[in-house]
Amino acid sequence: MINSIIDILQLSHSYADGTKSIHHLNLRINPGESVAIIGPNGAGKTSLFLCLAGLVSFQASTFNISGINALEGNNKSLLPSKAALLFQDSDDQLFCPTVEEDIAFGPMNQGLSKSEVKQRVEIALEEVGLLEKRTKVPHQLSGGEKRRAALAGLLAMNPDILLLDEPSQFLDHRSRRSLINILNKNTHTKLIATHDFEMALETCTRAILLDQGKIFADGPAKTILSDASLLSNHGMEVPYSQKLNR
Amino acid sequence: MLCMAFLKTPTFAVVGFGASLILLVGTWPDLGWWLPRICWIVISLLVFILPTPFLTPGETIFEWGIIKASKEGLETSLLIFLRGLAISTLALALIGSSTIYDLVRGANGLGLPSKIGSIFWLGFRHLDLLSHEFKRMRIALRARGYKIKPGFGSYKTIAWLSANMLVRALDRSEHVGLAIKARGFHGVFTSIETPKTTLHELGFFFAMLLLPSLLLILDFWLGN
Repeated sequence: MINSIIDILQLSHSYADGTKSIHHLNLRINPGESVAIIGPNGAGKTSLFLCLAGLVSFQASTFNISGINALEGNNKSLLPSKAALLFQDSDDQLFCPTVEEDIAFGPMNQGLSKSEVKQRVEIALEEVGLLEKRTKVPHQLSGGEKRRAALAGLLAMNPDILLLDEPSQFLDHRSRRSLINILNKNTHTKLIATHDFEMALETCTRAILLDQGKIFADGPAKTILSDASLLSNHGMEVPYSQKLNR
Repeated sequence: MLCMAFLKTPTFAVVGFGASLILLVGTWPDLGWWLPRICWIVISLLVFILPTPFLTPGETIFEWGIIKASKEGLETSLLIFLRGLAISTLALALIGSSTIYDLVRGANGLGLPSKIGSIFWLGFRHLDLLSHEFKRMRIALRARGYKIKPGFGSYKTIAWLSANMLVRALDRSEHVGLAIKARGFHGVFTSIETPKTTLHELGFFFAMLLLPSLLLILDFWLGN
């Protein structure tokens, strides 16, 4: 039996005003899996990611991420280096004066030596194809470049899991394609929250349908994303490519 | 800048301003960048110096009803104006010749606590985001035919816009905070670059130490 990289039971999370965003959710993800998290707006996708990255308080009976039991002691603070989160808006994530410095930010906080950090930055820049933009000011990059720079920042931390929140949002066709290629080459365990079902079909083998903080379906991406009645019940539509395949 | 603040005679203040201007043009030759800023500085200085001749007692040089301007007041306002202008020009040269991040790092190197430096840097970054938000909201208002004009309706819209900006600022800072936390931040900003002082920079530093000091000494010596 494969040891799960994410093993969560009875996860619940509420906003500051008491509104529940996740209700007793159970989730098990195997190493190397690429999973699409789909659902309407307000389904709890971002909240789930914030919990997985250990950035908000939550309740759970089991919460193991990459061998770390987050419910024990101060283990929750170790989660960001295991499960790296790509935010919906790259502007929130990029705050250093140059792309290079921004990518180095995470590894520097991990306490690595400067030479090691430089090596990681180099690898991450190469992986996302931004080597020539290393000295640029992040907020002057295009939307697609910003997204890739933010992704490089995560890759440089060498996490076990990538949590990507709407990675293709606001991207033009070329940037979106470039992102899909990067994701397909990447071997990390990936959880991708998205409304872009075509991208989900290209990058993910499994899909989880989340609505009102609960899982309503979990299975092969192609099966879930071609189930018209299931998607319609949750305010979504079958992607065009699946309609054509019928 | 400190030396400029202590100059006592208008003649040396003019020399100080001239030298500052040469430095500014040398570091930032683009007139379009610094000239409007200098103009704004002049306008803001005028607000402070214009009443001075009328408020300082001394030999009257101009009289209109009960309003009297004194020679001493005029000299004081001229000196304040020139010193203010010289200091602002130097500040512009400093800002124009380096990035805000270099300035923060330099200040950290001079002993500024890293937390204050971080707050300053993130605040600057945040202002940039807010200005983008503001531009977007302004365009959105214009797209719906809004024009600023005196009246309750217009002020109400500006009030809504300001409130919206504050809410967005709060929301944004929360996201940035989470993003920083997500990358293991523990309170100290570090950099992969190790700054090294070059011989050229050392020469410039000593020149900047000696020349203004010389100006100050001459001012005290010849001014008395």
